[in-house]
Amino acid sequence: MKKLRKGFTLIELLVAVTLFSVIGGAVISLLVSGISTQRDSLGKQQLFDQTSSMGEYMSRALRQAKKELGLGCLSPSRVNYQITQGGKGIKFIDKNNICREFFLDDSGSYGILKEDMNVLDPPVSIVVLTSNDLDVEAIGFALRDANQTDNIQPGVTFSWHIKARGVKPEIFFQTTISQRRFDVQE
Amino acid sequence: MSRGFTLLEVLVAIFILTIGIVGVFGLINQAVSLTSATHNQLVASYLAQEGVEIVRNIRDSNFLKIRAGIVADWKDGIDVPAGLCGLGCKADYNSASLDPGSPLAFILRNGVLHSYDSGVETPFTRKILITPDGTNKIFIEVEVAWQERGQSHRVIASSELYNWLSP
Repeated sequence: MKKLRKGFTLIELLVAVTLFSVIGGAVISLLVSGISTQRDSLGKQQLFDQTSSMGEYMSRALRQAKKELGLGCLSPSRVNYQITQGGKGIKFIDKNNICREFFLDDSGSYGILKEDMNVLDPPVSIVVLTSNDLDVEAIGFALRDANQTDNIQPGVTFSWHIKARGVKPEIFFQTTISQRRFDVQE
Repeated sequence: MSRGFTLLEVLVAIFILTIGIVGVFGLINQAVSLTSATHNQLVASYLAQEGVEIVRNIRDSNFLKIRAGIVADWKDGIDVPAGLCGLGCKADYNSASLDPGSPLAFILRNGVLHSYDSGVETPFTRKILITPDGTNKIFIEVEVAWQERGQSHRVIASSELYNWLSP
């Protein structure tokens, strides 16, 4: 009688299954960690791109701000900047004499940085500066300006804490700008 | 008839595969750590820019004081007394003059506000170097440095300021 052994032994099967699961497990865990790293990287990229663009945009607008000389934007008169919304916003007159405001809207489930392109114009002209991939946790403004008789050149410090939504990356950012127009008495 | 692989063939195959995989992983690792370095670089470059703006603000405030008749040198608090920041100074966002004491202190963060006053330590130090060039020009160099994964990184912002008001 011919004895044909065309199957596997139990040992061979066990070894094969073990090898397969070890290698498979390693590959899958690599894949999972790769995907989460990828998500983190994309989140970081969003954070960096938007932080950098907002930093530049706000710096430029605030540097060229004008003094309140009767436009009715800021109170009191003859100042360059005014902190609004309980410390979460800043109002100023831009180089084209338009009253503008940067502020944090944290009324929803995540914070959004917004800009009112024309505070004094009745139709609401609010634009969104940060995408809904980001959560602006906190924003802070500090002014270096009391009045035009203190012989101190006005400046603005702005800082924020922004998280990428759903992933780990976050950023703490700060910069300061000094007003380019001289604060001479007007 | 043996149609399998020889041990040598298997070893060579494993060797080539390992090199390939190690290479790919090295690349991924480097990309991840570079992204992280970009993070600090972005923050550092704006902190460096802040340093330049602080010096400029002090200069401009001095100009206002000179105009108002308050006796003030245009370099007051920047390079007066002479050589004040020749070895580096620190300055807060609201400083009225540069401070030559411990320019290698870590910047602190209280909430979102960065200063030397209070808060948790950030990885960043900021040194403001002032080099006068004649009496009517100064050269500013702001160096923000930090350590990351055992490596030192730095960002340098530099600018020149002139005494255009009363040369």
